[in-house]
Amino acid sequence: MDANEFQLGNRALYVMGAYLAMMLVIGWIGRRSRKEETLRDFYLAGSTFGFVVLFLTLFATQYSGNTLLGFAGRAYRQGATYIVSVMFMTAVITVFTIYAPRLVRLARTFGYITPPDYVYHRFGSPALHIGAVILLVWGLANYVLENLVAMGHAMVTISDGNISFMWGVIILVVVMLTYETLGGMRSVAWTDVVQGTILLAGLGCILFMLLTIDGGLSAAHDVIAQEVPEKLTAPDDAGLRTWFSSLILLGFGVSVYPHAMQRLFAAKSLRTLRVSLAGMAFMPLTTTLLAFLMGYLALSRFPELTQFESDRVTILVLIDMTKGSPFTFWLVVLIFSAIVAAIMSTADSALLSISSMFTKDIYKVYINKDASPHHLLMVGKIFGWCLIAVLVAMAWISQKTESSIWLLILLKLEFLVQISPMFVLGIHWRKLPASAVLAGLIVGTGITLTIWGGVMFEVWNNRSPWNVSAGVWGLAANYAICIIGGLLFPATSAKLQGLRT
Amino acid sequence: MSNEPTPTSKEYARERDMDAFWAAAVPAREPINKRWYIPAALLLMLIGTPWMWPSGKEGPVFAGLPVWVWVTIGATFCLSALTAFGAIRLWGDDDEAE
Repeated sequence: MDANEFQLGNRALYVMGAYLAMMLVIGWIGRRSRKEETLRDFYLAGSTFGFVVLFLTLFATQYSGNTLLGFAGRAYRQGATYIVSVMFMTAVITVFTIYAPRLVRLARTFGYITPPDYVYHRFGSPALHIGAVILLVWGLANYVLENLVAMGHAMVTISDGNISFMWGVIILVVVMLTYETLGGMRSVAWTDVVQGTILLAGLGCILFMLLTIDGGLSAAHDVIAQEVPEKLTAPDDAGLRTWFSSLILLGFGVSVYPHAMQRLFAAKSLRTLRVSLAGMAFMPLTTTLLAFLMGYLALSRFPELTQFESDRVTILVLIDMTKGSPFTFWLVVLIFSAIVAAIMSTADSALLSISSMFTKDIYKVYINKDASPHHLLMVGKIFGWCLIAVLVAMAWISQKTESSIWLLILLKLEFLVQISPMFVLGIHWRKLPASAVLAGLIVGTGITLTIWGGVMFEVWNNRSPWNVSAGVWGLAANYAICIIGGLLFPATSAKLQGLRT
Repeated sequence: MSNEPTPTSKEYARERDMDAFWAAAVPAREPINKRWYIPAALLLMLIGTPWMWPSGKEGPVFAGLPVWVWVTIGATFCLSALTAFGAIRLWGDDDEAE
């Protein structure tokens, strides 16, 4: 099956054009609705989100193009054992319920704009504060990059190849940056409402197609059992270690995404936040499970794809299902719109978060302490445009290599997860000293880098010794150092007060 | 201080009064206060992990998926329900704004 044989035609492009125009209108409305020219209003929309906006912005931000494309590809390659993805995305919300009750109270009391605000407040260490910013920006920049790559693939398919990969990226990036620059978090979240609604509708269509077309899952299972029976078996010991490794890496890593935390800060009330998170706890059973089933179904239709091709299994399955049917044609157009919406809603949120951290945690603290709010907002916007230019160039370079989307995710999460002890442990354990957290961060990141570096320089060839990710080895050492450090050298009352007041 | 703080209009400016920090940090109710909350979540993850199924075998099949996959989905649903219960019933402040 060659995706290029299929023609979606101009109608799909018209739908996409209308969608992009709507995003720009929402961006403009977001600008008109701003209350004041402050960082809080631009980056947190003045903490005014009610249930509908908060839930849909959390949903659209959490589930990216990577969920629909990368996760399906991984399910295709790994087989039934990738059902772990549904569990780890649920565990993310469980981890939120462990630390968010305290973090949200602090954010509302002291006016945090970014997660590193908490890090400095709790630990009083500039080194730890900068370390957290570096890891968060690193992780998020990779996150934006992977979504740019997904944007390019989606636009090539929607335009039947008439729009090239790079033009697809540039068109979507310009629209995204325009509405983001106009209205900040308010525009981003309102576009998320539209994007999240499209995504939910698209997922409903995917479920309908999976269950009804060509005999559904039962027929797919019979083919898989014949062609690739090893993809259906329960995991062995090595597979179980991979399972737990994924559960820990994703469960802890995704739960410290700064753009998700900033949405917690933006809630209008605690009740709104609690109900939204309760709803989010069930979303993996719709979104992630469907991505898994797409990969599963692809095994029955395209059993011999390369790793690079497997990142497009969602697109291949949808095109294969829709052959010749005018009804399913519109379903596929809706689903492609949902994929683009998922990609844009995640990329814009991550970019806004990076911009807020650069402005609030670096520029205002270390470069220009007396900058006015207007000046800071300009700096944040210009930084966002410059960063995206670099990332678009990197997306272009990525096209010259056969880099799998999944590899980019791992690079992102394995470093980002190292900030987890600051939030999960630090917010509950008063005696945890900054020195132990900093040592844990350095050692955890160092172990991860060493294992990755060894593979890059061909010293060894395994990024997951004993089937456990490098980032999880680093995280284990990180937590161990924090706990031992806290027990042996507990923060004294003087240190609890911090050196600066 | 147990009342829900309303969002402040100020922006954090690197002040560090740690008494105020810890006084503000603790809500009236949070899921972690229930000693069974984290063990229950871990137990559900353990139940959902297919360690008890013979490795290298598919086992029985139901509705197009191996039964061990359905067990994982079922345990995850229970984890979702536990998490939602934690967010709605175990987390809150005495005078929460509606």
